[in-house]
Amino acid sequence: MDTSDEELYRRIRKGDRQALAELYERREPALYRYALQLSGNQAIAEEVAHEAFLQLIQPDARYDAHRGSLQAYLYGTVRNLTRVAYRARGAGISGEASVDDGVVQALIDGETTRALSIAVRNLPSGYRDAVVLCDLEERSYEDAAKVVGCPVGTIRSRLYRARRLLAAKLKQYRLTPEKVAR
Amino acid sequence: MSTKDCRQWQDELVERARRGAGPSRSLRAHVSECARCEEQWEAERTLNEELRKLRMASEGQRSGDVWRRRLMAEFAGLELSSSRPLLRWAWIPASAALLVAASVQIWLGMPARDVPAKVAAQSEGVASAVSFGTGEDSGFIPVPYALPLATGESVRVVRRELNGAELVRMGIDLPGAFAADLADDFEADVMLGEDDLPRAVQLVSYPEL
Repeated sequence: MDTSDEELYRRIRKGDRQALAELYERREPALYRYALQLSGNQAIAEEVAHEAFLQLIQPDARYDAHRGSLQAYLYGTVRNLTRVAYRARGAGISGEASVDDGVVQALIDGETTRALSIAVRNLPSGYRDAVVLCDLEERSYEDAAKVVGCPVGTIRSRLYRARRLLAAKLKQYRLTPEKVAR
Repeated sequence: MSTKDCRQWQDELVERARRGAGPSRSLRAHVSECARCEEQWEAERTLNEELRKLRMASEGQRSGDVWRRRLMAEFAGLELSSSRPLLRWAWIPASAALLVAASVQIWLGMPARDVPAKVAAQSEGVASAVSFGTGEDSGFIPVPYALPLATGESVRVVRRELNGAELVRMGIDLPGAFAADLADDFEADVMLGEDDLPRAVQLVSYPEL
């Protein structure tokens, strides 16, 4: 059975480098993808995922195992850092995302999916969190609620509304792709 | 006959579409009678397919290995600095011992034993540190990706027991001859900047040399 994240964290606090390497290997890819989906920007995603782990290893790290899982804490950190990083670059995360602003766009095969990616990033932040966490990162409603810090019911209703908005965007895109792409 | 209203059916069809499941018999019956729900069912299925493609696009993506190595180097630096309180007052007995040793050597008229030049010149930073060499040329190996020392920044050197794996985590590549001994401990002088992060490492002893 795998060692839990929390146990790895305890070992990290005692200076165990192997534990840090294991936790990093286990959680970094998903955290990076999460930041990438939120920001659409590879540089931001890399910096944010790194910074989340950097904060975790500091002597004054704020993680408290009594308040929730380490995984939720890391996702929450990445979420906040992504917002800060985006603001620092002078682009509100819910601002207009353009087609050429990140590696995600280059990876996406298909105009409709590309338009959806932009539509996701242009959702109101609460809706975007719900879609990225639940539908793109496939986290449970409970996990997503812990990351965002809201009740499970709120995540469900936000996801429901977000999907309605996205479905409407897709439908509109199919009718008039050139108007919706940006 | 179902008593659900369209809102309740839509909750169900969203969940079914998210799971990639087909409609239940009762949902299919409702959708065949309700144009609005039928339209939403199709929209949700299409959306789900596009979300799946979006998910696949970033699957397998992760930060480059350089970020992992940077993190491990930072962690190594934090570990070294955490031992600082113990060393805070160590300079007093060390200086006293050095003074006594120097006095004795002068008194005996013996030539002073060579102090490793790179350690003695620690305040000069690592810009001139030599590469992994042998004999007289051996010296400090710069830690890759470490911030360069600022002009006038003082450094200090602490002696530590390290092993090859720790060096690799700091981003220092060992020559092939040493790579096989990754698990062996050896002594090393670690040069720390004012921020207590390692800037360079000098291997002092190897078990098999």
